[in-house]
Amino acid sequence: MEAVYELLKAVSKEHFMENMVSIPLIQPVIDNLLNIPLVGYVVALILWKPMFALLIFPGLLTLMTVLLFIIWFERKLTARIQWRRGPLEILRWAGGIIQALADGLRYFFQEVIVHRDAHKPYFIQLPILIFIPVLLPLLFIPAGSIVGIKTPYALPVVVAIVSLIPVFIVAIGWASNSRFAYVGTIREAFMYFAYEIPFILSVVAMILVYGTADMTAIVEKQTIPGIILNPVAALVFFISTIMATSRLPFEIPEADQEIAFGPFVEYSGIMFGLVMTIAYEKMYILALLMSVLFLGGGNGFPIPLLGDLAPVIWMFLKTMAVMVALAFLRSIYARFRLDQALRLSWTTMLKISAVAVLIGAALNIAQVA
Amino acid sequence: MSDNIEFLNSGPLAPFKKWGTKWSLWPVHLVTACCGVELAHAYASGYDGERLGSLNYGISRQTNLIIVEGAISRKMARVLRITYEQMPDPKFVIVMGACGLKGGIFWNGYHMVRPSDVVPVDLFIPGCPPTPESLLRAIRSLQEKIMSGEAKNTIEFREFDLSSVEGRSCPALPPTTPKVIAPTPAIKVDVEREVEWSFGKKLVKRFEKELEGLYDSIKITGKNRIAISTDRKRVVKIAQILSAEFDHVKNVNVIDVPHERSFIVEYHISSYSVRELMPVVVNIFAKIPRDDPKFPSLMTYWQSADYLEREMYDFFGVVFEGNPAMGEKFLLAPDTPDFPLRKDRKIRDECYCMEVKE
Amino acid sequence: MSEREGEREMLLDVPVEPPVEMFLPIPRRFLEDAYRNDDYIVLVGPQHPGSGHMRIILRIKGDIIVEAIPDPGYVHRSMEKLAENRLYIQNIPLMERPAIMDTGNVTLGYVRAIEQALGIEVPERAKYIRTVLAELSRIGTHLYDAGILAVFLGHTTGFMWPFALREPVIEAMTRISGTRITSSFIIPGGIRRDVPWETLEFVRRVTYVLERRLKGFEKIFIKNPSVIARLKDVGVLSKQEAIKFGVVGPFLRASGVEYDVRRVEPYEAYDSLNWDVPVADEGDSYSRFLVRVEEIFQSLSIIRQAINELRSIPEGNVISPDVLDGYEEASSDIRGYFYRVFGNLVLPYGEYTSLTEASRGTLLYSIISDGESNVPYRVRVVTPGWYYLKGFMESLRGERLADLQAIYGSFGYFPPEADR
Repeated sequence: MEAVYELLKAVSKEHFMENMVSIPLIQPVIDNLLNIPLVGYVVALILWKPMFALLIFPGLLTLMTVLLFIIWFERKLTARIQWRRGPLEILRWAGGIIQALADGLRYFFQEVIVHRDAHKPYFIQLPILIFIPVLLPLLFIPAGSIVGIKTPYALPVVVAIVSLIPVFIVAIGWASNSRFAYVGTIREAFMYFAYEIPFILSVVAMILVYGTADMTAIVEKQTIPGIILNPVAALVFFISTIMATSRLPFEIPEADQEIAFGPFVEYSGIMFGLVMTIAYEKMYILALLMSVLFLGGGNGFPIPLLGDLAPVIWMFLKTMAVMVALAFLRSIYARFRLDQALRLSWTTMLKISAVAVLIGAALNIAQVA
Repeated sequence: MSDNIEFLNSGPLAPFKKWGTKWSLWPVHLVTACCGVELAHAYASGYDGERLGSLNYGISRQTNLIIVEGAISRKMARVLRITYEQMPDPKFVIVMGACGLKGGIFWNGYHMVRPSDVVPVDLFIPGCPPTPESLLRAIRSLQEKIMSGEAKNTIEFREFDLSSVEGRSCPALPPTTPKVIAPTPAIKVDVEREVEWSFGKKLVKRFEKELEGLYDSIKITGKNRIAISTDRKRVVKIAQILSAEFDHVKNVNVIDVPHERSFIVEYHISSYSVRELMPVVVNIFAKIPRDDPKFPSLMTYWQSADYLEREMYDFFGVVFEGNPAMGEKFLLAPDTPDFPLRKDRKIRDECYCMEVKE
Repeated sequence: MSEREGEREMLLDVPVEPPVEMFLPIPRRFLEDAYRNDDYIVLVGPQHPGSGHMRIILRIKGDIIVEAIPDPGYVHRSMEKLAENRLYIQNIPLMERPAIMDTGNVTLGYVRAIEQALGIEVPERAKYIRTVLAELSRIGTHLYDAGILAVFLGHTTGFMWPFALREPVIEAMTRISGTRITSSFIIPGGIRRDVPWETLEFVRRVTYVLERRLKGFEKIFIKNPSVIARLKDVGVLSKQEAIKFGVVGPFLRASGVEYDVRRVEPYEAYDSLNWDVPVADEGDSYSRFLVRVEEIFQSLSIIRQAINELRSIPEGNVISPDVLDGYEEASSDIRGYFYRVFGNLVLPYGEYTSLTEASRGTLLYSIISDGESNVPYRVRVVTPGWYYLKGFMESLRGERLADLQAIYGSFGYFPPEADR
């Protein structure tokens, strides 16, 4: 009886309202909505901070918007650098901003071909299963006081889950059973080992700097942004991000001119739509992580009218800045070869990440942050 | 299954499907012939096909449009078909250029196929090559076709009276001269010519001394051109001697002379390493009987002759003994008629559309 | 007339059926051998984002290419056979099709073989205009190849910029000849029609635009560290190898052989102009690329000099009176007189071989005439692509799988040109 009562209390509107996102600007509207019986419950649920984190920011809604936006923006930015216009005619007055939506719809309605040699069950499930490691980290990343799951081990958990993504990609390549997929899978595996160590070391350096792995605490401690405290770690993190999301110049596992999208060569229709966005989703998570670790997360000038939304906006802007920087690289660099990238990460990157850890340890002793 | 497809094509979701497909026509990277130059322009900075939401993309599985860039050879036809089958529905085909339409300038070639025989075609673009504008126009037109379901002509050609076009001082005429093909002409590749070329005369003297007994005649056939006549037994020896200075083969050629029952096999050789010999092209040729087309391969002396010899085998069936790849088709598709360049393999003749004056 | 044309059109059917059977493009013994040696076989092309209209069969061990065998012929359009069935003059557009972006050079080669046979001296003005056209084509082709190289390395900006730079070149060619790419402007005895002074002045201005814009391209692509890392010491052909495999043109010069047909056997106006032959010693992909970039600058200089020279040559006569033969009024514009002048062209008996330095290297035309027919008895075309295919395949040996695209791009291999 006691348990049922507890359960009912846990899903009650009042429980949600205790921990709700407050937005002074539209507070009257929210108050009115809360008084309507069923709608009020839904509004309370959505504005409940953990649910807000899952659904709105940094969760699904922002993820979707960012995906649609960054793909369009990347094409548009590349086009401007290349003396042309990029996607335009689809919505002329807005510069063709819904181009990615059209592409997505096209993929959605296209035939999905499962070729004879594929390992059918895995070939079909893996692009869907891969969303588990892609979406889970979003629950741990805080924007101000909005956070899905608050735990002192947030940072290690996020890093661990993100590291699972390449395993799925390798599995996708294996299930595809194609020559180019095989080559691409091997490249993915090589790159995975190469960037993972500098990546983790740079995160460790930042944990040392702040003396904690709780991301909310990390953001609170960043009166000086982490990028100034430990620029070396920021550099290593940024380069590892490029490698991890296979952006140019390290677009090696999916090099389309060399091995025709590597592991994803056999996917078509919505399945390809799903696997193609993995890299962008990973990019979004790592950009969020970078803004938390190095750019002060939700810190910024408080905007009283927006209340709890202010950190959300600051963090969103910082994340977008990182993503734009990543997108910009596409039009500047050519692709490195696998052996060159491996040499870079196993020698130079490893060395400077060790330096980053040393700086982090020194700062830890000096108690700067 | 077909019910589901029918539902997608005409059910309540159909407008979304059409709209998405319309603005996302991604041509596959299947380059088939020279119109690819203009295709590249249509998607590069000058014309920017990406404005229409069309993005030139990697491989067949992820795309939905084939732009056939001109001529399709027998060998490419297979690839075109395979690529088409690899692509997921809905898929579209645009054929660029006159060659893809009716064969164009290559209409009677032995290695040509019309794309419309291989895959269903949505739109043709005339021109040789069509301009990037017309390609983008075709993509526009295909978008309209996707929305409305029917293709229509986008262009009506205006008729001009050619005789009054400015600058033309007399009316244009189609070729009035019929082709004259001599039935049994005498073919000679070493017609001697008088030229002012003292170095050549010295060179001929030197060759006469070096190749004593190996040649039938050495003649100067033009400035910087020398022809050495020999036969297939002695040619290896000549090659051995000349390959010391003449380090590469410029051309391996076979001339079919059916009425003399012979092939003439020529090797044009030249030099990269000796400066004075750089402009000189020496033609070593020999006649071989047509019913026993064998010739020693000179690949041991000139590596560069390898592919040229294989090509000549493809065209004429002359077996270059010593070349390891003889007997395999190299340039031609496996189902091409054998040895198409022999004179007795006739292709369809050109015909002119002439205006008959009354 | 239209009715009769309609009837005729019915006849223009291509008399072959589309192929239906599948086939294995690899020799069986090659496959078995690779299997026995535990090698991996990768087929690149013809439908592959990083290859043109050809298939390259790679045998790789780990990441290293053990052997590469080509499977060309996907764009073989039977030009040599077709040329035996057309009038000499009708073959000009046909012979332009191997490399349409290189129109100036490829038609020049065929036309020069005819002129050599007829012993015609081309009027001075036509010579210079031909030179301008040939060099414009050369710039256009080198830019095209630079773009393809860039996109093979995944550098899309490096693809877009050269193609944008090709637009002024094409505009210049359009103003000269009236069509974007396939101009067939060069005819035996001269050029189709005289080029007015304003057009030449426009071409001269284009050269300055190109020079300025190429500086930006140099910053973003040529001097880009990631590009240098991909191209340097990759696909090396030593001088001896380059000679042995008969590599031609800029790729031969990149290996240290100073051979340029324009120098060793000067034609048109090349011996009266002042220009250098760029040569490099390394023989790697990067030097193959740099030599061509340097050639673009040389070509710009040649065009400017030629246009300066053209200032002093009076307008008018651009077709040699030797070919006009009674139709002197057409000497500045052949329009309308085409078949009257050239319809009955018969070359004297014998073989005529012309060498031309096309953009990608030596281009050989060998015309065999029987002295009676007004169609050639045999036309042999060997294009630069076909010459250096062997060298290209040999330079792949021992390189990494990813280097295939770098080497492919550095050779600027254009299958329509190689296959004819």
